Amino acid sequence: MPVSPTLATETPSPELLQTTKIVDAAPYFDTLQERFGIPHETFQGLCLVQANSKILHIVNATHQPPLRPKTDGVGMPFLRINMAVFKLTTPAAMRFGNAATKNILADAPQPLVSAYLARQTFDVTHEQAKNFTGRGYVLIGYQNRILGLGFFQPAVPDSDTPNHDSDIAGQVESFFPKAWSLADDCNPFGDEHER
Amino acid sequence: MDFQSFERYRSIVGDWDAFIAALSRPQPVCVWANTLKITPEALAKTLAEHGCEALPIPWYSRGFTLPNHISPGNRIEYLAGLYHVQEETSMLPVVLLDPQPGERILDLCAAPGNKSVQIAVHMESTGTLIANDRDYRRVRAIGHALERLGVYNTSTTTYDASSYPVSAGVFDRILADVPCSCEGTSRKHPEVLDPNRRPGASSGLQKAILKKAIQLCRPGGRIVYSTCTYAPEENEMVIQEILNQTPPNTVRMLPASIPGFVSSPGLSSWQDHTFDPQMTNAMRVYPHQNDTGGFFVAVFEKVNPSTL
Repeated sequence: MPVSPTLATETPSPELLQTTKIVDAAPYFDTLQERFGIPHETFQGLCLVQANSKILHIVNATHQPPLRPKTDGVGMPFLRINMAVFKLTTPAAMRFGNAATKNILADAPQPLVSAYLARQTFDVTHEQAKNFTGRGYVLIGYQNRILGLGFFQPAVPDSDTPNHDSDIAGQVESFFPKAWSLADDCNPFGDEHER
Repeated sequence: MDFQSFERYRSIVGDWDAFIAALSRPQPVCVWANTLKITPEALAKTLAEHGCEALPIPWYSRGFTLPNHISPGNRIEYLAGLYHVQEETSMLPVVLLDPQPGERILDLCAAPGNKSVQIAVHMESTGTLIANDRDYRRVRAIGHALERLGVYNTSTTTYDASSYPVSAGVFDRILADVPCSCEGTSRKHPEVLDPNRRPGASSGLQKAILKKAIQLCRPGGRIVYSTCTYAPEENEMVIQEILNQTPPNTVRMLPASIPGFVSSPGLSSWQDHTFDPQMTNAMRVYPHQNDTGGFFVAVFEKVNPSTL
């Protein structure tokens, strides 16, 4: 990937330049703008650093990591780049997802949210998928707070299937992190499981 | 429970019966609002909408006590990073550190990261926070907490706090929340009541870490030293030793008090030891005072460049 320090935001601190590999953020921010409508201005004052071959982190441009000792991590995991289509991390989706204008279900009903948090695949209606632009990543939220990323697979119209539910726009596969997910019998909205 | 190992503190805790009664009760569940994502008022509202009454912590506008039957780590508000679960007294050191946006701050003994994320949120995710711990496995836990709350102003390092390199640069504020005998956590971790445990076993390391914090802080900057133990060997005696080692006017102790939070002053003497008069500026917290765990916090201002 490009490594020229042509930043979409602002010049990083000398300490960041000395201790990290700064990447040109513009193409990545373009990708997010194209898929989710997240404007570049959302990332004003921030820059992207190459954490390793798989992932980019986002950090304040003014951040001053130590020259010594060596850092284990700088900033927040932002984008997985070792895949066909770059994937926003869950912390980044939670933090910046509210700036999205498309491919976002910002206020999913509770049963869908429960399924999402339990890493289950769930159906979405045409109404729920009204700003989905097609197959690919979508942001899932509850009460306008983004919880993370899913993958939308549109339903294939099939007139030969008599019970086909025409109100179903497709399925969303949950990408909520395994380590953060809830057990199937846990209700995140509070219920009889609380003792 | 057997509180025999705490008998040595009978003369300093004030109301002994209330102290023992508090230690025998379950400890309240406390959280603070992640103001990067939600206001405290909005958090209280959304919790109430989901059937959870959050009572404001009087001395900390971001903090709440939740009902004891709640599982705070399984709720939607937690998973969305809207709050962080932390014992009430553990919130004290950061409030007294008073982090400001844009500053450069070091948390020397950061794992598991509760105070680091609290610092980062107080900094509004700006400036620079270095969260350090000597155990790389525990440094990973810091990263998880930072990610869930959406913080991007932090670097993590794995290094022995007592020998943290001077080449790391100077810091505006440093938190030295040092490893200790953890006596103040007995309400949650009764194993600390083991009479075979020896308070003061870590005092050498504690002194070295405080000394390092003073060295790395800029003149005019602030250092907070904290433990979750009652043992004077790990609190006043550590500080006294460092005050003895530093040239006069290198640091001064600032009053560690918070309106609305009941605490006791640092000790002026213990057994055959007499302490610097500034020591009463430190804060001792006993469980019966605020229905919390036990804690100790001392706040220093670095006055002149150190020659430590």
